[in-house]
Amino acid sequence: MIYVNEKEIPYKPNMTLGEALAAAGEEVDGMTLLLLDGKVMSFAQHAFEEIEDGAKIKVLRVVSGG
Amino acid sequence: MMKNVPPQCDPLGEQNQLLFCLGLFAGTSFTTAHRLSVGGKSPLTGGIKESNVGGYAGTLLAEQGIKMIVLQGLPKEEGLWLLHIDREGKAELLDAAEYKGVNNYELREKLAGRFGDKVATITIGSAGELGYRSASIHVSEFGAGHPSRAAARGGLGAVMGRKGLKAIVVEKPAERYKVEYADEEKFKEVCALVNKVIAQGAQSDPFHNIGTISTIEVTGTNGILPVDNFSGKLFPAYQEVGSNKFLTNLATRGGKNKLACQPGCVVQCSNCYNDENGEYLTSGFEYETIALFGPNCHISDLDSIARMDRLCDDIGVDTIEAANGIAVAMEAGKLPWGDAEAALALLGEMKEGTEFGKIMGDGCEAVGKYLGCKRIPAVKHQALAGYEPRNTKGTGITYATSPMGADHTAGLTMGRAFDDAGRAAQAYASNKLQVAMCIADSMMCIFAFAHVVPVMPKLGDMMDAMYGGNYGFPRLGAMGVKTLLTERAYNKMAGMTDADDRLPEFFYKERSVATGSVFDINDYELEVLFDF
Repeated sequence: MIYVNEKEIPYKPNMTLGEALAAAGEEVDGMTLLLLDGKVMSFAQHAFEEIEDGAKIKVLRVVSGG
Repeated sequence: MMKNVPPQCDPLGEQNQLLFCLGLFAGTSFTTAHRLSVGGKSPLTGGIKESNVGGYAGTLLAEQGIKMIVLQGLPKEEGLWLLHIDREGKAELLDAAEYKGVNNYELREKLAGRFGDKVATITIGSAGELGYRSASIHVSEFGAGHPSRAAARGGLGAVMGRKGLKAIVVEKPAERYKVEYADEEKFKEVCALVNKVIAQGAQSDPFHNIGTISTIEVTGTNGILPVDNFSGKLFPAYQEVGSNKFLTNLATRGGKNKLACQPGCVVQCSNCYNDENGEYLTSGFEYETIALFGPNCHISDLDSIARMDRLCDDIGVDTIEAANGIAVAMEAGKLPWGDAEAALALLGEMKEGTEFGKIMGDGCEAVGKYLGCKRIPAVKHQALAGYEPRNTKGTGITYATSPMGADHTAGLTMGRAFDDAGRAAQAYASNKLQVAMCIADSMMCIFAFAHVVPVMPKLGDMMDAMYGGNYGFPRLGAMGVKTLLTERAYNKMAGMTDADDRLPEFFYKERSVATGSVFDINDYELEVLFDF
């Protein structure tokens, strides 16, 4: 099982971040950042990064500049 | 300003005023209501300036029942003073000659030693005393009290210095001022709802979870991160100055994020960044500083950038202006690209007041002109922030047309038009955001404002419950439009023309290497932007 914003999603071998997000119904774009087990992943990485069973993913949305 | 400061006056002369003004909801429980708006005629742009800052001073001024402090005229004799507002609400000007030349960190320590470490301080460093046109005004943060929150842009620190005011010290009052409401019950009901919405939104906000440095992860891949003096290139090592490096350094050195710069803030985007020995180095370490001292100077060492931030905060200069000055100096060959130690040495010249240090203190454009650099990234003499305008064209429109000069906080459109590097809807996005930011700056932090969008009309309800009437949100929309038009009118009377509402020529002519885009927003679109 993996967790996307604390929502439980069944884990599949070789699952990527992008697949996990799609399974959770999360829409992502260039203004989205992902926290994968506390590590920051950019939008550019999400299609390739493979995740492990038990992974915790948090979806963050950039709303303003800093 | 329109009534009391002649638009053509000398910003460092007798007729300019310096205003410290609280927001519309100061004194209430509305989150981030205690930002401080510092205003006056800018010595950098020559136009009207509103420089907005967080920190603790706004909270204590509101508790004192003070809405605004206005500095007028010039001292009759040379000297330095500090304004002390004690716990009984008594305001007194005290001699501050002993603090001459003392920079912000040491000054804060001395003031805390004299008046207690619970006071809020508003200070200038040596840059303000020397009249540098990029001098900032520093407000102590809530809690640790570091003087790291800056009303940075436009050189208002020089106005404060010229008026002989080294510091304002505000004590927590013995008795807290009670705010008057038209309808207190309604205000508290709506305010609680809006606070809840903002707090919920903040939970998925990278600024809360990481800090504003998280913006690097977005701009580093899409060509919006400025690289090598806005060359339009990408910076492959952007992650060296990005979130993971930052979070690792915080975790291994005893640093912190998720800090509030003022009580009651639910966004909590601030941080405390320690050096490799675990000693405090800087706080309020933000994206703009990191992007512009980092990739825009081809520097990829986060600790060196943190030292630059600390130095700028200490002497009291705008990091955006200073970092752009360094990048321009690198382009002109005064120092090598990516040489952090040489950059720190140049910043040190501002502290020492050398000939070139004084030029650096007058900002990026002054540096570029002195060194003969053709590519100077400034609008209305104010340097661009950390967003490449060819790849976020709405932000470019904001840079060009904002009465403040090139100011991202006036309307950052990144991610809000159909395509950041395309033309469609860019002017629309800039226009709407510039109005919205005028509203936000009058009442709250723009980071909290971003989360209010689902319940935006409630802000109108809060205004009605506080000040009376039944106007709703249109009251705020009209206020935002009026603010922009008034600021533009002021600038026009100060001598600005349509030609001042343009980006530097190279953004129109040179293609971004990252995207192939140029800034192709035509003059007509810029000229009619504010024909509401």
